[in-house]
This record gives sequence, C-alpha cells and structure tokens, in this order.
Amino acid sequence: MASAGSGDEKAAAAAMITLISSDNEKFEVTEATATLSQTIRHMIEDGCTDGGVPLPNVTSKILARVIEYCKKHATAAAGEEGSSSSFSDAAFLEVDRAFLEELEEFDDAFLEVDRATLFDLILAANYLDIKGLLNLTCQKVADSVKGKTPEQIREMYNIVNDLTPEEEAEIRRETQWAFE
Amino acid sequence: MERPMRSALVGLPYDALLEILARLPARSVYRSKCVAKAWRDIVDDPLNRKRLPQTLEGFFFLDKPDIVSSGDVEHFGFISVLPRPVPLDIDPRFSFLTKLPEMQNLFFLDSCNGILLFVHVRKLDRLDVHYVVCNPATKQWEAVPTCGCCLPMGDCSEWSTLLAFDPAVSSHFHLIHFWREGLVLDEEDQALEDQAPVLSVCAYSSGTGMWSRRSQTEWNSKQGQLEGWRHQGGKLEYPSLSPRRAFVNGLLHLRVFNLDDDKIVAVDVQGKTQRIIRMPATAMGGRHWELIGYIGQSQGRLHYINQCFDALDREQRHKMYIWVLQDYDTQEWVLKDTVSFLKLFGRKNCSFSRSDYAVVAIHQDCNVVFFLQNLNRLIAYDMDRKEVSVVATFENKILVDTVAPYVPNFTELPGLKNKL
Repeated sequence: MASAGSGDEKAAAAAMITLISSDNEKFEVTEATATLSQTIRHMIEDGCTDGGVPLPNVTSKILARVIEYCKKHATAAAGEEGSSSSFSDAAFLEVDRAFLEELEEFDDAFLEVDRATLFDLILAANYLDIKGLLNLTCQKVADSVKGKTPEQIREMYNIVNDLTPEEEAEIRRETQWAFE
Repeated sequence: MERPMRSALVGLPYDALLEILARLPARSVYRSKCVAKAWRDIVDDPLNRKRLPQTLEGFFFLDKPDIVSSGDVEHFGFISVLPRPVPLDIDPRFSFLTKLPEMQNLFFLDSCNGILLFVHVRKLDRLDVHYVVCNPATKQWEAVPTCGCCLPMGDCSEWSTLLAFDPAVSSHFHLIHFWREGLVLDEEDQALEDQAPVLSVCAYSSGTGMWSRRSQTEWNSKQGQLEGWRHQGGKLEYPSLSPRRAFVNGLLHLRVFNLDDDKIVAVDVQGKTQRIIRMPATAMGGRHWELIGYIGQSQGRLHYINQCFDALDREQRHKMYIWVLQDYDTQEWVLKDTVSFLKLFGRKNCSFSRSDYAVVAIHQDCNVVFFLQNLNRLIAYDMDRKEVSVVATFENKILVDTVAPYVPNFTELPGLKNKL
C-alpha cells in the first residue's frame, strides 16, 4: 500500500499555501513564510486556506514584495532556531551576528522604494498583520517626518490641510513649546 | 469607539498612522497635530495615550508645607502646563492611596518619569516605615520595605532615597538609598580616626524585590577610584530631601560636593558609580558658582543651570547660565544660553541663597526652564524665543524641592502590583 507515501506528500503539500492577489495572480509559499502574517496564520488555524487565500486588498506587485520580505525573515528565524544546538556559543554568536547584519542589509535595500510603494507596503503589512514589516515601514515614514514642520510634512506627503485657520492657530498656541 | 478608516496621509489607515506617530519623539508628535485633522485627532484621542510618547504635563507641588511639619498628611497640588482637549484625571490628593486605611503619613521623596516615591510612616510608631511607589496615571502602587541599613525619617541623619525609572530601558523601577555613616571600622572593628565619614549606598530593584548593598571593603584609594567620592567626604546636595539629580542614559546623575571640588557623579541602578563628570565651572577655569546649581535632563542631554557669583564683570553676576553636556563621552559642556535676572524676575540682583529664585525644572522635550520666584511664582523661560511667562502664582510658599515635574506614564508596570 502507498498510504505512507501519500501521507508524506499530503504533509508536504499542506505545508505550501497559495496566496491570490487582487489582480488574480497566484503565489505559492511555504507555511513558514506565510505564517509571518498573523492574518494568514489564523486562516490556517481555522482551516480555511484550501483553494488558496484571496487577498483582495493587495496587488501582485506589492504581494511579491511582501513575500520577498517574509521569505527572508522566515529563513532568518529558522536559521536562528536551528543553529543553537549545532554550534559552540562563540560560533553561534558569530553566525547570529552575520545573520543579523545580512538581515539589516536586506531591510535597508528593501526600503529603497518610492513613496507610493512604501504606503502600499504599510497597508499590506497592516492588513496582513506582519509585525516586522509594519515596524520597518512605519519607522521609515517616522524617520522622514521627524523634525519636520507641519508644512514640510504636508508637502512631502501631499496632505490636504483640512484644519480651519482658527483650529490651526489654536493648536499652535497650545503646543508652542513643540515648535522651534 | 468608531475609528475613521482612512486618514489624510494618502489613505493610510488610522492604525498605520498611529504606528508612525508612536515612533516619533513627543515634540514631533505634538507638532504634527497641525498637519491635518486626522493627525490632531489621533494625538488627542485618550485611547492612544498608552501608545504615544508623553511630555511634561505639569508639576506636583507640596502645598502648605507648614502643616506637614506639624505631623499631618502632606497636601499636594497640581499645576498643569499642557493644554489638552480631554483633561487628564490627575488627583493631587492621591486619594487612591490616602483613602486606604493602612496609609497614614505619606511624605514625598522623589519622582522619575511618571512615577512617584513616598515614604510612609505610621502615626503610632515612627519606626514603622516603608516606601510607597505609585503611578498616578494608572493608580497602581507598591509598598517597598526599607533596606534595613538605616531608617529614613528615623535614625538616619543624612540620607537620600532616589527613584530611578526609565520605561525606555526597563519596566522595573529602582530605589537608590544613600546615607552617611559616621564611623568606619577596620578589619579588627577598630574605628579609623581621621577618616571622613562614608556615604554608603544600597539599591532596590522591583525586578528582584530585593535590596543589595555595595560592599564597603571593595574600596581603597588604588582600586575603585570611581567610588572614591563616597569615601572622601563626598556630600549630596539637599541630604534628606530629593537632591538635584537627572536620570540620563540609564544612569542617575547627582551633584556632589567633595573636599576638593564639585562634580557630578553618575551611578547605575545598582548604586555603583560609573562615571564622574566635572562641572562646567571647572571647565571654564576659575569662576565660582552659586553653591546649589540645577542639573536636569532635556532632549536626552544633561543640563546644568547656575549663577556665577564672583565674576569680575558685574553684569555677569546678574545672569543665569544654562549649560548643556554636548558630548557625554568627552565631557564637553557648551554654554547654551544666558539670561539676565532683570529679564527673568524684573530685578537685577537676585540670589538663590536668599530664596529670590530657584530652578525647578528643565522641560524634557524643549528649551524651556521653569523657575520658582520668591517661593510663590512659577515662571517659564523659553530659550528659543527669549520669552518669560508666569505659569502660576501660589497662595502659600512652596518648597522648591517638593515641586515634582510630571510626565505621565499610562502603561501598567509589573513592579507596581496593587491597583485601586
């Protein structure tokens, strides 16, 4: 009987998840990669990933980037867990440091995107509940906003000022200390 | 509460915008309220207080200090300096503590980053003493036993217990207790004469729930140079009341007087001296400063504020000097600003020792210094705008060392286990 073999195949197949972007493109990813998203983790736990996971809020262009991020970070996480038993402490630390440095370089390069993409990544990270990616992208925006005047922030991000002049004057009066 | 789905930051949802704002320093957050309605509403929303950085809310101050000396419960007031659309529920009576039957006499000792330290003395037994640490924003509190080395308010003549807490470093708080021991015994328990009394130190961590004492034998003049100040007649400012101090870079910075010169010592949360910083006065060469200067933290840097009373140039005696430790590692002090007493207090000649004024605080997020004038007027001086304004006038005389700047902390802390 081939039952044992087919069982293994099933397990292997079950470890792959299909993600479907808003423009109907299909992405096959491992469960380890997909479960960096808390949203997808919950769907897997609830057993509703058969036939693929439709992500109507995420385009294929953005989903490809998100998967790229998750793959890298899932590998790093697995590497950290796996290496502790097989290396001496010093070697482990060395590998650990190398991992972290590589990951940092990856993150830096990953953020080299235009503003529209950055916002789409934040939206996707928020929707998919990927903590690391949300941290990374929000920090990037926060760094760009830090120390800027409200006018500079509005200009930078094409924000329409919907405060009345009275409201704005009131805020400025109350928070005068925050302005140079 | 219904949250708007989309914000004005090109369609960023409320949560994402909150994530971004939560990563900014307080000053940037408050400034960003002017960007658009969505930004303002997120900052003003009381639900976001836990997530967003907080800034100087105001000052607790001991009202009617005369009553306290006659043995009654301390009476606090609060002066707010931060306008809010939804005011904070601040109870300067600390009724969440004082209404507990076991609480009797609470004496304010210190405050640090949103939490306050009191010493609690039972009415019937002055030796029944312990500390109470509380967070007025969450109404959490914890009773901490004394270290057992010397009783505050009791047999200790010169002592100081200081609170060290920085939520950015740890959710636990520490108490650092200094006291003077008159006699130093050698190995045969013989008193060593001609030796300056030692300032002993022990420290409490809410993480371990234990006090630990720094060993006295570890010091001799060759090793442990950093601890030398405690063994060579070093004195804290304001013994028995909260001395001038600043918690910066995880270290508590204290002004000490030594036999030779004044300095700032930086002790860690275990009470171990990690660094000795010379005063800007020494760096300037020859100038002498008023005995009690102010040290504080603003924008992550140590600040020193004092008047120079023996400057040759008369004009220079009638000014406040505001210094910033620009480079912590090379100990480079930079003179940030000077301001005349005439401008600050309307009088040319003022002196700290005559209680004409005292520095109360420096704003942690901007270049504003708060002074207490004639013990009854709180004055703010804005270094950037060169503006002086009156924040409050008090009915009663205020003791400067009981004015505690307050930056609320809305997170529940594991070290404070009781909650009303």
